[in-house]
Amino acid sequence: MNYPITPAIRVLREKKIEFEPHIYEYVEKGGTKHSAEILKIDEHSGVKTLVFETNEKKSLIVLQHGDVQVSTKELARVINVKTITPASPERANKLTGYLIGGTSPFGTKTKMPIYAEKTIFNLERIYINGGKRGFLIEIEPRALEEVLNIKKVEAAVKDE
Amino acid sequence: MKVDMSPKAVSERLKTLDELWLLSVKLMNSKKLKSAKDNKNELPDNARDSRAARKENRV
Repeated sequence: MNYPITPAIRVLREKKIEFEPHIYEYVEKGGTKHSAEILKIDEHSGVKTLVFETNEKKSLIVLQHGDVQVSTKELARVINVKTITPASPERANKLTGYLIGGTSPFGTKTKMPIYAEKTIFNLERIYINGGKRGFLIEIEPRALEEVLNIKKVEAAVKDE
Repeated sequence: MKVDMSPKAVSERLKTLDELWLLSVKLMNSKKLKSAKDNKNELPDNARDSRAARKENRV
């Protein structure tokens, strides 16, 4: 299968991480719900990569299940900062080197602390962005720990 | 050469690259179009009949 060689793919290849690429037609604001439907996977095993900023303007990445939201209040409490807000799309693009909707935690332009929901690691396989819109990579969750410096947190809040 | 690294300029460049990528995905998913030669070999029945009739008239 042909797939794009993104900075994320370069990192995975360099670290000899096995992955399976999945390409689908991207839909603006379709999110993990759309990709899960197209690829016929459980949305819970789709992992979204989100960029946030603290009140001190320090950026961070959060990896969260596709079907739940991040409680910024809880996350701020856990990492001991006053507030956390989503980074603006332009700021997120500049920090990661990826376009919103195609952000991967691997191979980001700027090194940032990465927080991941604890229960992601209970899954057998996860589907995470490979660095392009409409491009997911299927990996074992332990690959996240092997490649990235992950801090596990509990900051999930169910969609309403 | 100076490259504008402002968040806005970076986003614009990423958007342009993304458009190319999305087009390539569409291209990968699209079916091959029939060439003019293929179309010629697949004439509808009535076209084939009129061709045969013309041939007969000539004979």
